[in-house]
Amino acid sequence: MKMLVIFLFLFTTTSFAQPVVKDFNHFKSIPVLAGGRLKPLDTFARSLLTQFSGHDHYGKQEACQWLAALLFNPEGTQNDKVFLINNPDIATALGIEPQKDRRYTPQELRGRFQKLTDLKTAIENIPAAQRSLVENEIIRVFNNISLYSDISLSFQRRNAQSRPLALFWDNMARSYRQGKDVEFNRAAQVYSHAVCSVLSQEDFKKIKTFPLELFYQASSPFTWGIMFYIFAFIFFVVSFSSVKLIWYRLGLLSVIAGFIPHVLGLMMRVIIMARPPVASLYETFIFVGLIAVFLGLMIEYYNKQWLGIITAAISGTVLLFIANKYSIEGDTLEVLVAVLNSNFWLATHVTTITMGYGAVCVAGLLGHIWLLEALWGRDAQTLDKTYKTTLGILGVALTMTFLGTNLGGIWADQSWGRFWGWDPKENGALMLVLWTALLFHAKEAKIIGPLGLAVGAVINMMVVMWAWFGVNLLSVGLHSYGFTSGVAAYLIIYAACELVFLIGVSWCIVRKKEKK
Amino acid sequence: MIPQNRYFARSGNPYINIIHSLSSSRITVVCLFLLFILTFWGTIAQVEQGLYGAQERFFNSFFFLAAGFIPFPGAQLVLWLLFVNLICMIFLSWKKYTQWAHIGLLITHLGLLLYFFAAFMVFHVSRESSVRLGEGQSTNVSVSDRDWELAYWTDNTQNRQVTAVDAKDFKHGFLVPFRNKDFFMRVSQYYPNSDVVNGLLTPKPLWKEREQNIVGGEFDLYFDSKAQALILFGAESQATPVSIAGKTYYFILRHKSYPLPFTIRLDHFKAEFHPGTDMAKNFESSVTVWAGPLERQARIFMNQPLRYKDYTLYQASYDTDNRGHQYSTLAVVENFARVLPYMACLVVFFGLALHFLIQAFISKRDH
Repeated sequence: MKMLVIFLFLFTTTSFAQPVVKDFNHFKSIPVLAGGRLKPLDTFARSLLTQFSGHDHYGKQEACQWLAALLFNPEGTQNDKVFLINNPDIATALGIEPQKDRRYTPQELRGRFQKLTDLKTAIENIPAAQRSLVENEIIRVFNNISLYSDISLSFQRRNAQSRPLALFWDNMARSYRQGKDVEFNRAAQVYSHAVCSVLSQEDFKKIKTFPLELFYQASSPFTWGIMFYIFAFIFFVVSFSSVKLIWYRLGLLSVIAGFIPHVLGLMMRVIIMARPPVASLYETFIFVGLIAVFLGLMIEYYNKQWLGIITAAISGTVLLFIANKYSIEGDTLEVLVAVLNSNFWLATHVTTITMGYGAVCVAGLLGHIWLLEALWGRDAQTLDKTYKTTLGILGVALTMTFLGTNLGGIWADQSWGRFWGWDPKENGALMLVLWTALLFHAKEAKIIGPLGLAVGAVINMMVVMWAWFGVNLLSVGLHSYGFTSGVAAYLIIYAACELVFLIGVSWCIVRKKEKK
Repeated sequence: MIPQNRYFARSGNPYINIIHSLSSSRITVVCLFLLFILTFWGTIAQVEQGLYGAQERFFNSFFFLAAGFIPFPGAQLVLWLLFVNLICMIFLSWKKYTQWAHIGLLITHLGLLLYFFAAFMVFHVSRESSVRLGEGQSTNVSVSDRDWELAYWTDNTQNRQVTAVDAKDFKHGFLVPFRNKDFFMRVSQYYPNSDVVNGLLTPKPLWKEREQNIVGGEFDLYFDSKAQALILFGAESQATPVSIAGKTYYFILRHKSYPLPFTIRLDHFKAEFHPGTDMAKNFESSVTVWAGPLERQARIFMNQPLRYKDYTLYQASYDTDNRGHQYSTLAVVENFARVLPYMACLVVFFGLALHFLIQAFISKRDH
């Protein structure tokens, strides 16, 4: 009897619940034009939701599912906490109770829209370069809310004589509201076909990479990369407690396991965008990370004592993590401004200079490791091994930064008519070349020994940070397209920590030597 | 850095001793460090002083004053020192360098010598200017963006003979070196940046970006035993006529113009954008170039310049006037040394790669 009651209860609740669409496969691959590029709707949905909330999914809903709700049933998304407002002061200024998770619902913000508009109008009178972080955040929030309401209204503003494609869209909307999976997918498929039939030959080629792009988005290869790199580091830490070979093997295996999705992810991007792997700031993180891990594996091949595994694990994790933070700005598969739109130079100059950056980062990490090993009082042989490895990697760094800087000069000569123009980005690269060359000459002149080289390699890493993002913060010159705000504080904190580390550790090492 | 060659060991010969001192790798280290500091400083300074100002102060100078009174070496001096240091070092350690293990270093440093030479040549022989053309327009003159000249002519026709003097040395009391029997001219006032306020020429503070400055000047013109004041402003498009010795002379202060050994016509210009955005994808000028009877059609777009003898024409920018006509601006660079840095770069890279590969090989063998 009890069983029957439960059965009846379940039966009645399921049969009376509003049916919902669960299958979004065809909906995901509808071609849309956004950010200057034809892309699957899934990519658009993910970047939209990331732009709003900082995540590419909402709760258990995939981005596409949430976008479908926004398009076909906007009222249903009114209470979704999708608007990220980083600064609690803004929430207070708008008269909303600040939330711990910093996310707010459209319903909450709708009531404050007038207030937000007033703030935004006031801020727009301030020149863009002088706006504070909070002011930029207000503009961002305003734009997001406007975009949200535009999208939610996009199919209600339409007039009766709009294009026939809209009829297919109506079918989709109807079957979505009725919760009919099969009809919804069929309508989405018909709509996709209809869109494809009006595309040019060139655009149609892009559609062919959609399955790959969907796979790329769904598989999030770089997250897998980070995970395995972190594992490698954990195995390294564990190896201190027992010297068993198993930890070493697991560590090496983890780095390789992280490297595979890392490479595959980058390759997928190359195929999707039909251009070389590095063209935006986001991609430099991925690529420099890849080079650093590759160099780490090479080091491990020669010197089988964790050195390569640690450098690979740290640089892979940190760089992919930063890349992940960057992807919040929207779709990372971006189109390029005219001057960058050259596959030949992107493939040569940008890849070589970023390889140089990667090598400098690895040499910097090795410098840290040497300093820590010396502090720890490791034997002379271990120290010498690390020292020699650092020298070798610095050699790679010098060669690649020199070549990259000069190929940049040649590119500039080809497109701007001058080889060298003392542009901040050029200067940043030149500083890397100069500092690395300086280290080699100072070592040959016996001005510095292993300690000096390790310190120099660490300083070189600070120079790379300057060349990589620091110069963009000046917002002068021809390379200011990669500008990002809010990085300055992190850079200063990084440099300060590094300086404290260098001074502290070097002092201890020198003291230790004197005592001996 | 390399052990001394015994044939040139330090001895009583003072020349050899000087070369020894000059070849010291401590000099190399100090110079590299100074260059590093200058590059950093010169980058930061661009925010305040603009690219041109920073470039003149830090990179093109031999000395400059830091904080207003401390003399600091400029990049040009440091580079000359490095050049001398490099030559002395190669001279002294030639023997050592020609051993197989160090051949990469030899190639690298010889490449650097070529690099210095290339830099010197490019710095002194290259000249930048630009042409701005609407569709259908043609020209055989390119115009500097920053340098000014004082010019005059007598017949106001298309094929006139123009005499011009570079304005860079103009200052109060300067006698303008026109070789003309009818008149002579002296600079009364010259403003590197100026504007006309209430009909009066007024000096203005300099812009950070030198292209934005508009010069102006007051000149005293002496002819027929009398003097006449002449006020010229760089933004005026029409020349000022003056009657001298029965002829009309037209004077103008204008951007420096260079005759081109060819004529160029803009046939068509197009700007492409990424679909649905205002982000530029490509700018392209279709041009016809001719010198004499031979015509040549070419397309100039981003990363695809047109080369003609020692001239290279690049797509620099475009603009639209208030009637909707599009104008394309092409940068014109005259530089017969432009391949030198390319070669130097390749040589140095080859040397570096070879050196580090040899070193890796040696260390593997010893291992």
